Amino acid sequence: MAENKLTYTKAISELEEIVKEIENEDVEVDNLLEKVKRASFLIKYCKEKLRNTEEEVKKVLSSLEEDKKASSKDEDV
Amino acid sequence: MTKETLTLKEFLGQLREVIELSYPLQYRITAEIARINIHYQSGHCFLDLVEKEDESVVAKASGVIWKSRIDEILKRFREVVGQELKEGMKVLLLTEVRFHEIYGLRLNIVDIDPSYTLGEFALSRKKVLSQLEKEGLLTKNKQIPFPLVPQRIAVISSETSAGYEDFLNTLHNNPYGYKFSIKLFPAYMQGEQAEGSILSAMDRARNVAKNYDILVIIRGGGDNVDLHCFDSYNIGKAVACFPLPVISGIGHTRDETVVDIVAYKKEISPTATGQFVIGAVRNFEERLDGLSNRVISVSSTILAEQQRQVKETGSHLNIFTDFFLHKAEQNFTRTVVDFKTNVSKCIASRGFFIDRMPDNLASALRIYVKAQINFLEKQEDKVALMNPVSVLKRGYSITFKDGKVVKSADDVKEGDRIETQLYKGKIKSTVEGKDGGE
Repeated sequence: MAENKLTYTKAISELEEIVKEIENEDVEVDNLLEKVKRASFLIKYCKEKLRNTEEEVKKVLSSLEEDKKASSKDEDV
Repeated sequence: MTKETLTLKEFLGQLREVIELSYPLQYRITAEIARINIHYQSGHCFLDLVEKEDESVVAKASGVIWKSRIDEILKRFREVVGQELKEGMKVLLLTEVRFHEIYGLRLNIVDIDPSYTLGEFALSRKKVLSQLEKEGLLTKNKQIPFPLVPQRIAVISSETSAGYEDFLNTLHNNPYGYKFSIKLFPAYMQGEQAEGSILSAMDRARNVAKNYDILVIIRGGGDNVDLHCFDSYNIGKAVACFPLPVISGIGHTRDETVVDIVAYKKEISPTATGQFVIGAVRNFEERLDGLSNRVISVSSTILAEQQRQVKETGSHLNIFTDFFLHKAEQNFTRTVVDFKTNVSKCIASRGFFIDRMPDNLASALRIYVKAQINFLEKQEDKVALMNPVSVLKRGYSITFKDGKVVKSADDVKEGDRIETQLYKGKIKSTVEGKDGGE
């Protein structure tokens, strides 16, 4: 999974990109929800990583991944 | 001229007399200590003093500090210089010249001026710095981009030092709950072995540098401990060339050491070093929080705007619906009237047949027709409830031209007669001019 290689640097630059996009109104309302979800995932990921060891971060990360899958399934329904 | 033959003792005795008579005072001599040794039995301190030119010895003599003077001299030296008197140091000596038939020439050291040695240190430190500068190493470590989150920390320190303990406590008890992974590369931080030990610990750390964000050099204890190795060219170079930013937490209040100067950052104590690391992580989290707030504020603004637009569209829709219902009602009313008329006509024209029908059938038909009319009337009531009157009441109006609704200025031209339906009454008017359209 690409997410496993997520670093602070990658996370914050992606986050900054998203914030710039939504602030410049480049995002369709339909995509906005996706973008905001991704942003909050990145923020949560970093915050967890600051307070946990590598091992714990991996666990948290996989649970976040599951949340994401579950919520995208919900949308499909 | 050889007058008489002397024994060795007689000859050396004459030499002693000449030397001691010719040099009766105390003399200030600078020299480098090549060897220093306190005799375990006598307690006297014996030294080899040399002078070097380009690393080769060009003068050499023996010296001694008598036991009676040694404590005072060494104590003052330690206090001023911050180090023990030792090999390799350049010293300014106050000496008396002594010659002994057995021991030969010997300098009797009455005092040592520690400030000279301090000055020599400063000079050698200056030389090291200018050498490092020449090689472009003075700012090399400072040019490494500092990691966003210095969370994985390689430490050069001694396991048992109070300074390392302080550093660990500061990091582990940070008020934000940040976790750090810390790996110690142990080394002697003082004494003769310090330089080699620190260099080899740095080598070990360099081999696994990719697993860490920063290197921290921690040394605890007070000022009266040997800082000399932190002024060495070799350690200075190793710090400058280290692949990670190096934080110097050597902890002292004197002039900066070479390591302090070439390091990415110098902190005044191990605790301050820990606080610097925590501060860097905190900065990252604050940046994260800033972005988080922007996401929340922008997305809620966008959503509010969307809601407003939906509402607006909704009210346009209401006006349209009202209008549509008005038309529908007109048609409906007409249909009901037509139906009533038609039924009456039908009944009238077919009266004959109906009269001839069995009574029960005629009454069944009447009941059916009545039910139909009832049903239609009820529908009519329902439609009335949705009458555009309610819209007109609010001040909206509908404009007709030739009985058709005018929806755009393009539908009329100057001079056209139009009719405006208000909540109460109608206005008939002539078009004088218009704006807009499609």
